[in-house]
Amino acid sequence: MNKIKKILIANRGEIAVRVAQTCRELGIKTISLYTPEETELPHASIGDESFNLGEGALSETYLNQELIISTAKDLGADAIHPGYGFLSENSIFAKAVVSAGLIFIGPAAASIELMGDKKTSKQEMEKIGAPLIPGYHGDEQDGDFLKAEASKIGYPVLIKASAGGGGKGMRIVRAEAEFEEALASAKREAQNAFGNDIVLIEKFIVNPRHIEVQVFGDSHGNCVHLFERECSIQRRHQKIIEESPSPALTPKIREAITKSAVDIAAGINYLGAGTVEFIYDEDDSFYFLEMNTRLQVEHPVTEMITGQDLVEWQIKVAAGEVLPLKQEDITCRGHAVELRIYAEDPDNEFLPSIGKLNKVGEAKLRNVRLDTGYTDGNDIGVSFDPMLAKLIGWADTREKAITKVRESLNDYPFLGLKTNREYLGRVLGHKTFIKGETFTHFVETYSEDLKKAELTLEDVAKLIGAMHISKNRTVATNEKASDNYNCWHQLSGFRNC
Amino acid sequence: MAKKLIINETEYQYDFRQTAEKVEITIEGKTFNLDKKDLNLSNDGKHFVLNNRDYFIEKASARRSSAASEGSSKSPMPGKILKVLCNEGEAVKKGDPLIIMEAMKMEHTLKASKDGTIKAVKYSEGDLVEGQVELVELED
Repeated sequence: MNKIKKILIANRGEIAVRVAQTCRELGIKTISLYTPEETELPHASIGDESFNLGEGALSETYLNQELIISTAKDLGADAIHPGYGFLSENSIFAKAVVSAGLIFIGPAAASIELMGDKKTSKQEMEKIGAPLIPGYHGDEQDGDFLKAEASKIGYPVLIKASAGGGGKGMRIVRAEAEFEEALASAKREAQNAFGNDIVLIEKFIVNPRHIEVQVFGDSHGNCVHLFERECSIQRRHQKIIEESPSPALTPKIREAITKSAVDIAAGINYLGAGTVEFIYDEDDSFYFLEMNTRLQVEHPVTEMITGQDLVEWQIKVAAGEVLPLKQEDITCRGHAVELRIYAEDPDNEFLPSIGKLNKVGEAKLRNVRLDTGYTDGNDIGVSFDPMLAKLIGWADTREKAITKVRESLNDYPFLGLKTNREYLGRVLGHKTFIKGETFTHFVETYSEDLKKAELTLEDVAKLIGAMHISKNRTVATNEKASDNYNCWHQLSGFRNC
Repeated sequence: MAKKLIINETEYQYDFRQTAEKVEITIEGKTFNLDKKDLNLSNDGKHFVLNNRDYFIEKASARRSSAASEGSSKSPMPGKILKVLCNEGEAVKKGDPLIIMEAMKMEHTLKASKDGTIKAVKYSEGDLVEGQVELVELED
């Protein structure tokens, strides 16, 4: 790794903190980025050096390619780690980094470009022989034409933004009568999110699971997988619970799906960390969905079952080294579950919540990890993604891993904010989830079961009692509710001096 | 003397007494005697965690203002107005879509909270709005 001595981390939040951690362990210096409104957040000062991006829209800060590359050059970095989101899957950026004489810790620009466009990627996958779902991926975007294609495929169908991701610009259409309105809405959302309203149409699988395979390639022609992750529990098409291994796969199907993923990655000479996503049907068939050409949010579950550090692998292969392990030496042990803790209100359509994070909490059980970009006293606003943290737990069986993360939710109260903690606990305690019958529409199907339980009078009494004896009491007395906040503002001001 | 508190949006009236080790709370005619050592819940003064569930406690007086806004349609959070689907003077039914806004890069459809007539539409397509502001005025 002597080619890489200093890395600029072109990201923020938990993933910037995560990357910096591995760099420290490897003796690599880091440069972290921040904006003036983020000075109190951990990522702002996690690097050996920190650079202030200045104020402005994302295009002037975390998406400002020229500024990020010139900063890396000025401060003597050898490489840029893009994290996930932001510039991580931007082929123009990857190219510009390389032209500037720096190493891009990620795949070749051509791989990003290919997989970034759902349409061209499917055409390439067809050549490689990857399993594909029936659908229309062509250029014709006329409404009537698309409607006819949808009828040919047969309802229900899925409309997806060609340039999309994260559920934006995506609509399920169950009947022909709903098609036009759904198409208009998907196109509008796609245009706003990606500046491009091209959509594709696919067969919608009624009881699908989302199963993805972690792959890794190096520049010496090696390509391996690090098993699968099941990410079926989603709300608003975004993952909230991920686990590995998948409770759905038999050894035979695991072999088939991981082989398919390696064939795809090897087929495009893939370099670095990648994830091949599949839709898995009840009849054990699986279809290629897309390939994410970056480190995934949910990579920690893979790290916990394999005992490997995926950021370290990324840095090594980016430096031109051979993959740390051969396929036969990569083993899977026990079970890991990740919970995404969001600042949102699950009982009110998962709308993001804002406020002052008064207390995160700390791990009290073994083999529990919290990846977060926040610390006590931080303000949580709406400028960035509402994900507060990832809580990951490992145990030797699935049942024990579920119990472990469920218990650990208690140890991280995230005081001061409405979060989905309690909701995650309800999912983990649901008998269907415990049985491993996880489908991507789980939270909609069981929405009634997942509703907040009624408060008993005894609970009410306990809460009132707890409030009256609380050291922090601000509600019962005549103090204004805002006093608590003011005192934090003073504290943070004090720290700045 | 009855005290009032709101726990997770529901108002409760109660009586409260305490000794060095115990608290006595009476709600809806039922009295609970609780040990103070059992009430050491994780909290920041307003947000309490009990049996891994979250509770937000507010003073009853702090709620009055928001009750007055019933019948209005507010933006759930800061964002941008994408489409206005209703006109002033138009009659709408409960559940009719009124406005589509984008926030956190997702679309949210604002629906009529009751049957009525649109008295005023306060924003136009493309406007940026704050959270919790009234977008449409609806009258019976």
